Amino acid sequence: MKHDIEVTINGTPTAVQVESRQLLVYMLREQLGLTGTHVGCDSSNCGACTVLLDGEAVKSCTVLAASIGGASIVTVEGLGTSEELSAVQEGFRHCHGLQCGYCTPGMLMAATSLLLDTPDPEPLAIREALEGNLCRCTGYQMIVESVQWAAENGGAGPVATAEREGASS
Amino acid sequence: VQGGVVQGIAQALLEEVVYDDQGQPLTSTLVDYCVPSAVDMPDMETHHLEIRTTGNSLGAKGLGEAGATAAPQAVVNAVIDAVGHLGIRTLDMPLTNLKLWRALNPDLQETS
Repeated sequence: MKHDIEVTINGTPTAVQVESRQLLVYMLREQLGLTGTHVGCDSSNCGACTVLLDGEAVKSCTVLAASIGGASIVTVEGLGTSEELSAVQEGFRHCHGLQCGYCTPGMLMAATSLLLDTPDPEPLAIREALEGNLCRCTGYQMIVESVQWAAENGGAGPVATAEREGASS
Repeated sequence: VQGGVVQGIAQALLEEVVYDDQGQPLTSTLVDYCVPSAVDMPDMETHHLEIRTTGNSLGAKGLGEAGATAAPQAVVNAVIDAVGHLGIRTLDMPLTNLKLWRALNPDLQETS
């Protein structure tokens, strides 16, 4: 069965037709072409598919697209631009918080959500917030340092902050 | 290096591919096969000690994943050191809670 839903994707109102069983991550990747959101395990363990749903980090492989009509989604494409990265993105670049990069979109979204909740997190709080995002390459140390850098240099950023405020109003 | 260290620590403590007697894989998802998350792993610092080889004119040596090869024995030796006074001389990786508990309580039978 098909459902017509309207969602806001990275600030743009978008009408999409989705199947009942369709997951948000496949709506983003296959219908909207937003392939920055990755599919890792497809079972909500690895966190590569993390996006912001009404300002909260969720694993988009565990969200039915048909259930989110009216919601606002931010994917990694919406955090910043190539010319103007968000502080979290810049932190990962500056502190070398990635190697292969597969987990990075999810890490960026989870870290952004953390900084909305906790603007100045301790390293352990960063590790706890990223518990649902697996990384095989880095050993996490430089990811933690990247998020610390972001906290000290701009925080979650305007896009995510507006998203959280929009959801609460 | 740091990623290798984490892989090595995880090999010592968490990760194991398990099959049952019929060859059915029991660790086929990331829930059953325990890849470490950030909170499972410690903060670490990396220091380099550079010693040039005299075996070639550049002084360079080939090296890969030194952390992954060094970390397991460091962790396991630390655990053996901690429980050695109880007569435990060897434990097989990964040193899961259950495996360590069994080693520490050899007289207790599991009931299920």
